[in-house]
Amino acid sequence: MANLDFTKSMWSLNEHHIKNCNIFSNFAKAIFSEIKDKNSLNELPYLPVRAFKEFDILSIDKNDVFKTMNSSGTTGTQSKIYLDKETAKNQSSSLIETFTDLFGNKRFPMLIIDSEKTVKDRAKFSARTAAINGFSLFSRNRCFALDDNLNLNLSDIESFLQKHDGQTIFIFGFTFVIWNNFINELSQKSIKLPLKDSFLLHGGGWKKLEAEKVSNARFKELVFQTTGCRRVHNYYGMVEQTGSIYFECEMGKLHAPKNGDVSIRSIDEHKILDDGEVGLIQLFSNIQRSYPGHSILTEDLGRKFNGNICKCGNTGSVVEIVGRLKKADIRGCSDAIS
Amino acid sequence: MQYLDLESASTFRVLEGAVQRKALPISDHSALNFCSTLSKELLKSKRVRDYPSIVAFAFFCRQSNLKKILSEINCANMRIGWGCILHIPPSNVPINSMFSMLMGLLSGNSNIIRLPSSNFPEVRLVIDVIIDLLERDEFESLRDSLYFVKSSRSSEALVRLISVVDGVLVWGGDVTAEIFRKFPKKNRAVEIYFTDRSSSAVLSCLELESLNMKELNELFRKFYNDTLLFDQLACSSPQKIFWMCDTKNYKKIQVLFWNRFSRYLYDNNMNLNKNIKTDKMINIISNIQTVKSSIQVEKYSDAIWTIANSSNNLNLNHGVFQNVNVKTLAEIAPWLNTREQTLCYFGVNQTSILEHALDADWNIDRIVPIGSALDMKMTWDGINVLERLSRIVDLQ
Repeated sequence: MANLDFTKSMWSLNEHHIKNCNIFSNFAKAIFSEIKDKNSLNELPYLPVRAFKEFDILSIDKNDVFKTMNSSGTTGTQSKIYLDKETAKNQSSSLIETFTDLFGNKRFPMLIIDSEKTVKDRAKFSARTAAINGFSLFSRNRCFALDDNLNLNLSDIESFLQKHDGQTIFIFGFTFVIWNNFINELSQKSIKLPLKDSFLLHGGGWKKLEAEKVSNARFKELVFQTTGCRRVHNYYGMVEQTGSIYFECEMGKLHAPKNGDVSIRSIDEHKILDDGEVGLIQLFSNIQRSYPGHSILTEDLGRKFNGNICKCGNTGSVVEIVGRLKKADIRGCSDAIS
Repeated sequence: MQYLDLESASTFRVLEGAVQRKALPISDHSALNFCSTLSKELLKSKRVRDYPSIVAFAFFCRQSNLKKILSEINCANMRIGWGCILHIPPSNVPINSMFSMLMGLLSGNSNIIRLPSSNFPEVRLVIDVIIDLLERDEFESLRDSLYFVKSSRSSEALVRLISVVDGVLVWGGDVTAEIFRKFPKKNRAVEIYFTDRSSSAVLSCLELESLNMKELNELFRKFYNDTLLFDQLACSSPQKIFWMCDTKNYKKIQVLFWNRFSRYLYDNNMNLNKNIKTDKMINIISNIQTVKSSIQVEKYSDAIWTIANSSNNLNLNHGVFQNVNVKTLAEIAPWLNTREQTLCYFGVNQTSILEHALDADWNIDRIVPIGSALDMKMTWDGINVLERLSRIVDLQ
C-alpha cells in the first residue's frame, strides 16, 4: 500500500483543490461529506473520469491555462484537461523520472509505429498524437515507420536502422497499430528487422486485440519473431492523469509510478475491494495541481496487487487491466446528430 | 429487407419506395390490421415478457384500443397521410421508436425510422417480428411503409433524406430539435419536435400513512415503473416529489418512503443500471453547475439519493429525487418550470388537481396517477399527433 508521505501529499493536494475549484469543492461537500480517516487514500473524494468530458473542471483561473489537453472520446465527447505551466512541467518531469528509471537516462533513436500524419495534421489530434509527442521527449531522431495510409514504409525504416546501426532503438506505438500494421505486416512479408538491441513501448488498450483473441504473450512472441526484440513493455495511463504512467516491468507487471497509486472499487457500490478482486480502477496522482485529477474513478476494470509481490524490485502497486466497463447505454435523449 | 444502413449506396434506392408511396386515408384499415396483428404476435412471444415496455406497447396496439383511437380523430373520414415521415426517436426510452412508428402508420403515412445508435434488444425484437409479418401476403401492400435505418452521427445521407420526406417526427430534446429544425425540407413538410420536458409527482402524506405493506409495495411497483425502469431519463419520469402534508410529519414520511422504496428495490432484485452510482455523481455535478453552489444529498442507497433545493429548474435522473414539502396544491405552482410536462399523483383528488392546474395556469400537459407516467398516448406534449401527421381533404 502507499507510503505515508504519498498519502499525506494526496490529502494536501485534495485541500488545494477544495480551496481552488468550486465544482470540486461543492461536489466533495455533497457526496463525500463524512470523511473519517485522513490516513487512508480510500477516504479521498474521487471524480468519475466522465466528469472531465462533461464539465470544465479546473483549479486555476482560465487566464492561467497554459495548455489544454483533449482525449479522444469514443462517443464524440472529449475530456478537457487544463494545465498551467507548473503542472505541465511536473507531468513531463514525472514521465521522465519513471521512464529513465526503467530504460536509462538518455535519448534514443525512436522508431514510431505510426504515420507522420498523426502528429502533423492538426485535425487528427488524438490520444495517439499526445502519446507520440509525450514520449518523443526521449528521442534523438525520429522515424515514422508507416506512411500516410498506415502501410509499412520499409525503405525509411531500413535507412533509419542503418543510420543508427549498433545503437539501442526505442520503438514506440499504439498496441493495435503495432499489431495490425507493423508486426503482422512484417510477418506476412517474412521480414525480420534488425532490432534485437531495441526496446518496445506500447500502450492504448488491448480491446481490439482481445476481440481478435490475441494475448500479451502472443503479441510479444510476434514482436520477437519479426524484430528480435525481447524487451517489450506495455504502459497504462490516461490523458486525465498525464505524467502518472504505469510501465510494464521485466516480470510483465504494470507498476504504479512514484507519484501514483491505485485502488479498486466495486462497480455498483464503489466499495473498496481486496487485492486480486476485479472492479473499477481508481487512480491517484499527486502531481495534478491545475485541475482536480488527483483522484479519478476510471471506466477500466482491473485488479490490484501489492507491489512487493514483484521480483523486479519495483515496490509500486501492481495493476492488471481486465477490460473496460461496458458502456451501459449512456442514454441521453438523443444521439441522432453529435 | 426493412433494416437498412443509411450509409450504404443502395439504401436510397430502396427507400424511394417509401418516399414515393402514396399516402393512405386514415379510414384505410390496412395499417390498423397490421398493428393489431403485431400486437397479437408480440403478446404470444415468450421473449417479450422480459421487456415490460414491449408488453405495454403490444397491449396498446390491440385492435379494440386502436379502433377507439381512430374513432376519436376529428374529420377522420377526410384525412389522409402527408406521405413519408422520417422518425428520429429518442434513446432514453427505446420503445418510443415503436410508438413513433405507430403514430406515422396510423395516420396513413409511410415511415422511415432512424434508430438510435445504441443497440437496444427490445427494439430489435419488435423489428424482427415486424419483418416477419411483412413477409405475409396479406401485408404486401405495407412493405414500402416501414423501414428502419441506422445512420452515422453526422450523416449526409440523413440530411439528404430530410430534404425529400413529407414530414419529420423528432424526439430527443432541445438540442436535437434545434439541429433538425435547421435542415432544408420540402415546403409543406410537417414538423413535430418533442423537446426537453421535466415531470413531478404529488403524494399525500395522509394517504401514504394509511397504506398497509401490500398496498405500499404495489405503490412502489408503480413508482419504479414511472422512474427507474428507464433510469429516470424519460421526460415523464418524476424528478420533483411534492409531499403534501399539513403536519410537521413530512420528514418522517419522506424518510420512511425512501428507505422502504430502497428496500423494495433490493428485495425484489429490481433491474437497475450497474453504473447507477457513477451516473448519480455526474448528475449531482451537473446540478451543482446549474445552482452554482453545493447541494445537500441524502443517500438512502446506491439506487436512491434525494436532495432538497430551492431551484425548480434542476435536471435529475438515475435515481436522484428532489423533495419539496407543500401544505396544499396551491403551493405547487411556483415549483413548475417552463418545461414541465407530467404531474403524477397519489392519494390526491384528481378533480382538485385539475382545478388548481387550470386556475393557477400550470403549464403541464398531463395529470396521471402514479404508475401511468410512461403511458404513451397518440396525443403527446399537447399535440394530437395523428391529426398533425395527416391532412384534411376539404370536399365541398
